[in-house]
Amino acid sequence: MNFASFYPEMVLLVGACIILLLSVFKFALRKYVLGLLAILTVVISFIVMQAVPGIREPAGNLFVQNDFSNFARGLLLVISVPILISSLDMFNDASKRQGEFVFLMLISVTGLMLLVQSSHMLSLYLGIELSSIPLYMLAGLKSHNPKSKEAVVKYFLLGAFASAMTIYGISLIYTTAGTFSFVELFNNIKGTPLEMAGFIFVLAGLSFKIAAVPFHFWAPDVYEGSPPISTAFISVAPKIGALIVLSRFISMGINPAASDNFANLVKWSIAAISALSMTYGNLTAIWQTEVKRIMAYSSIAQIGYMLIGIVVIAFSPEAVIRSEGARGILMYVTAYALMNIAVFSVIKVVEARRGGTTLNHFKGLSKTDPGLALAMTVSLVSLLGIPFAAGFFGKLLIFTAGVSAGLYWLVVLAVINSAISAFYYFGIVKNMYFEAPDQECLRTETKPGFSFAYLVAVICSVLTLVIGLLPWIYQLIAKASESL
Amino acid sequence: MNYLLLILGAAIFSFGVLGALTLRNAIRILMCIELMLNGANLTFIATASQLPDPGLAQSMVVFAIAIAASETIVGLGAIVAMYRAKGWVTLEQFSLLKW
Repeated sequence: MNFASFYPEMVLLVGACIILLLSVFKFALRKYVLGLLAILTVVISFIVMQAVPGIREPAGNLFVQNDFSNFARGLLLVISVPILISSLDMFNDASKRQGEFVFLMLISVTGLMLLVQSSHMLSLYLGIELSSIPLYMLAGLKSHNPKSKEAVVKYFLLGAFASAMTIYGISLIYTTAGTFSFVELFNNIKGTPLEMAGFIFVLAGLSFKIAAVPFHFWAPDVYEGSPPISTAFISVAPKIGALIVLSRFISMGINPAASDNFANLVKWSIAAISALSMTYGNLTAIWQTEVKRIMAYSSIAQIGYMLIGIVVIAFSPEAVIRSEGARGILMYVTAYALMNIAVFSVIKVVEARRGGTTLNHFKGLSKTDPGLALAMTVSLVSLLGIPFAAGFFGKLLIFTAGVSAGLYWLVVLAVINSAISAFYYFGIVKNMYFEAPDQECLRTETKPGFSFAYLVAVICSVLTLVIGLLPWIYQLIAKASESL
Repeated sequence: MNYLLLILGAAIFSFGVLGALTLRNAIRILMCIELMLNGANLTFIATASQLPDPGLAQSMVVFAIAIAASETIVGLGAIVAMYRAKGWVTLEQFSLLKW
């Protein structure tokens, strides 16, 4: 085991512990100092990941380090910066919670960074747990909000249930395959019923983490009950981790030639989850009136689109098409992270200024907060996939990969679903631009001061517009996906 | 293969699933989830005893027990916080968010 490979994770762990210790003491500007330290930790970790030589050497049987996993690690670090910045809005200066938020978030990022490199069931399970246990607490950090308490209990019970299913699935695969390592599973999976049941259990656990149908039912409640900045993290980071590890598990661990039964099960179960997620998410989102719930169902639909990339990897053994699928996943996940962080930052500001986040609270936002309305519109348009926002390029890459793999029915379904999603995305935009402000909601409006979440929303939505037009990101993604 | 132990593991896991899906008290659901984990652990041990190199699966069990303990701590913390705020922990009374 080469420990130099894990310096970035170690930096995060040490930084998180220092911040937790410091947060015990009272000093001036504590909130800002802790937030700044956290951002500094993430930046140092990123620099270490890029700079220290020898860091890309293979690190034993448990982890695999290549351009694919390193892109995902880098992405996780990059997206945690805007969330850390907007978290400065969450608590008042006297509260101790800023340090706790930062600590939990850094630990969760560490777990996810280990998860995206894992090539072994042990590291997969450890990564999932290390990332999700802090997430349960992040969901409940705003202690005075009663909804938050219900959300955290629900999230915890369902999450613990899902990870118990994951480990039982691992144990079932182990009973006949006799190994944990993905590379050895490639030759050892014979397609016995026990292995098939085990795969279903593992897939169920991972689907829970990405909130895909039929394990989505926690998402609307948790998104609604948690503080919006935690939700931004919960809705983005675990999805990156679980998607990357799932694509590695399928490309490394499943031998399409060994057993028809098993390979078919893998193909069709993921294809079914993908199709069901996008259809269910979109059809349910139309009827919602609470913007957080709309975004929860929208994220269920988005995960359906992203899973097309995994379906491509499962369906086609050719390395070229597989890397095309991986390219789609990476681009979509990057775009989705930016858009969702922007949307939840806007929701955070609206909640603070207008006291709620139903569609009524968004009425006439363009009159009182034109910048906020514009940022929200850009992100929603990008989620919808209108050229030339980042979401468009993600969808483009994913759909072309689907066509190359011959999955026409899935791509057609996804295009139809994108059209359906226009209803509710434009429903929010319509409320912001063409409706008069609801006097009931304006009454609670506080004086607009400086807000970090506002800043993050603007930056992320500008990035959403820009990132799809930068050629180097495609080079980076192409290089990363070749080493899937 | 030690089928008896495998079946016992599967039975314990199934009882856990059944309980977690039907019971309504948060603490009891937590206990059922522990049962599910122990079913998995028993399956690991039963398989490992038949293999030439049992160490890996046994270390997996140790990890699983440690993780289960930390998960329980977080869960009990959440449940206690809710009990202090509301005075109940049964799921029927989750009223603010639809279950």
